[in-house]
Amino acid sequence: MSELAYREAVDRPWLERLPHSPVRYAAGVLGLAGLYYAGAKTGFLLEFSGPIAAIVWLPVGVAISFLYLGGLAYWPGVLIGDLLANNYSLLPLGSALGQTCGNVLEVVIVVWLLRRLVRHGSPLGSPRGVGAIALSIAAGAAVSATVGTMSLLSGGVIGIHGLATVWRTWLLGDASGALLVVPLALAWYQPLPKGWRHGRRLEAAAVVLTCVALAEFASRSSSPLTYLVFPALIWAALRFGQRGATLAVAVTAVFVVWNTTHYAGPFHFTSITRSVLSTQLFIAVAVLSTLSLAAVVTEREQFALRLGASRRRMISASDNARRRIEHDLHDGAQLRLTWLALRLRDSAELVEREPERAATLLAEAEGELQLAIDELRELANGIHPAVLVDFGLAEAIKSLALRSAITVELRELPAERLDPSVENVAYYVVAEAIANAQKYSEASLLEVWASASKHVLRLQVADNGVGGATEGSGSGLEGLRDRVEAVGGSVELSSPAGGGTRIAVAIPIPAA
Amino acid sequence: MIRVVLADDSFLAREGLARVLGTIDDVELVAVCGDLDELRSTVSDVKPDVVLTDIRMPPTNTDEGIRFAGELRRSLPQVGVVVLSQHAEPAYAMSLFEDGSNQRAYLLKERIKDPDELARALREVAAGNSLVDPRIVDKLVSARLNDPGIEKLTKREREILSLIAEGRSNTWIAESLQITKRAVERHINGIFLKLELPEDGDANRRVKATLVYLTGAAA
Repeated sequence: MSELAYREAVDRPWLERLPHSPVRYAAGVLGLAGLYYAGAKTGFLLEFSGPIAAIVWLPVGVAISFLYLGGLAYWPGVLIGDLLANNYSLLPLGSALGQTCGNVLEVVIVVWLLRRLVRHGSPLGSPRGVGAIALSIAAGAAVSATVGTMSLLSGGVIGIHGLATVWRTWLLGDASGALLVVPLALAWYQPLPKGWRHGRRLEAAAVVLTCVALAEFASRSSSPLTYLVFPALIWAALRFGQRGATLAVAVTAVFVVWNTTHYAGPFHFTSITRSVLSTQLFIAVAVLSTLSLAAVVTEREQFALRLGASRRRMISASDNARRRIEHDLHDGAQLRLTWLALRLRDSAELVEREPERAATLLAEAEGELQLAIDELRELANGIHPAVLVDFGLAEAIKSLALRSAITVELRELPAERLDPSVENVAYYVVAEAIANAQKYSEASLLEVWASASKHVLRLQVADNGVGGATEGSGSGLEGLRDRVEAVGGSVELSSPAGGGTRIAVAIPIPAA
Repeated sequence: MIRVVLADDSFLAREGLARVLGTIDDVELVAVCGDLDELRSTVSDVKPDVVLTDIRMPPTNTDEGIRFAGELRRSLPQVGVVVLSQHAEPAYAMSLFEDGSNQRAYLLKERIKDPDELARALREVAAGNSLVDPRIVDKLVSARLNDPGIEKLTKREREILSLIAEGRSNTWIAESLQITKRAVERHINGIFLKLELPEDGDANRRVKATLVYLTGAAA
């Protein structure tokens, strides 16, 4: 599925992601510089005259997207692009260089913050992630606006009285540029889903056309009808998720900015500053609300997918368990008993002719019977450990430790009985962790901690084996996660190659 | 004669056990019961020497045998109890010994086919001693070979530790290992010293002490 491929790309450890070949790196840096320059030039098309007051400063969004997806190491591309885009005829060299420094710093800060705040998956996938986008961009833009206005002030380009206005316009221009481009890039970076039906394509086209029509109408009309665009944005977000939302809001923003700067519309005021401010605020609000909606939709869809998958796995796990019991009964106890019946018949035949051989056969039969008894006991215990029900988790874990082929050190066990559902899941976790360790870890020692507070049971099973355990399909770890998550718990797996495996589980204890 | 009341909810088990008990000379089977209520009233009527009971029976099919042993400790302290169980789990034996291990034995159900072990358990319990199925003790000892205390023991001492946990008397140990009783006592002192257990002349209390050590030292 495309979602998986995307997650891998976004999740890769980004700081270590240095380009492998110098040629590729150079190409990346130059490519970014080119994109940045193009973004700056496009930005100039969408603004009022003058070098300072950009309504939406697009290149900052381009640069953030590139460094976020490609790695921070490409930052020189931002520097080159910004140096090329500077208008040196209007600015003293010192001011130009100063504002370039601010711009590079801004991009690096946003990318660093965003990676810090959202460690896994796409930031667009949850409302929290969208909040992180807004926060990172605001912080970066504030830095750039501060450094930039200071550079202009010290170069004498602006006076002290215009400082606040320039700072605000700069901040909002950078922020809305980033808010437009970054989500668009993140959403469309992943491969397109395949197999859309005809109706869905038509609907997608209809959404885009509606956005265009409403945005054009709303931003040309001199009546304050801007809110008309929102139904179309909501439609896009609800039906087409992140891609729909980012594209729709970008299309809308382009029309609004173009019409405001070139013609008229609700944001056209005699004061350019007021026009700029209104447009920027409109864009920021439209982007953030549409993205939040899309994020909630994505989050719900992902949750439904995971839930469905885990339910399917639970069903197949229980089928497998029954199949295994059937197999164990057939190939174990039943076979032994059949063999035993033969032995007894032979002994019966021999008992008069060769009583001594009959005695040997009977003794063998008894041994075989003992094995069958042992097997049945283990099997019954595996189906449902009676000690867990009768004595609780601590004794059941001790019993697992007794059965384990690897030495198990019990570091901490809960003294009191817990909710039966919690005990069941916890027992399963320890049993599965020990079974996994026996199969794969080559460990010589297992350690178990289990401690219960009023609200949560924390379990940890660690081995000193080879590590490298993964939660791939079919591994016991996936079933373990399903069980724990089914009761609202969480699982953390840490298994560096050569560093042993540690499974930490938290299971909420329902209020009595 | 040891007067025995037998309780098991399974017809097969009752029949099998009754037959085995019939072969033991010094045992007299005075009553057979199928559930806890019946057992309770029968025992208070006939006041046997030993109750031989399944661990789980109606009404709840969980641990009736052990609970009944606890009841008897208060109501008829002179009656001994041998619990037969399908669980090879030390926790059940510990639970049986909770308020004292004298006159109590915990055996695996497969002993039905083993008249000698069964007879020994009944005799030990009737004599006021206690007993744990050797299979459970073996399992405990082999699982704890890496225990720092157990590691300090010699091979002979480990052997004797198992026998103590099973509930064997010093005389029995001396005979089966063909050493003197004095030597057994010396070994036992050594074991308790190395495991840092309180020394105890009472054979019943030391069963429990060794079991506690073997099951619980790590947690």
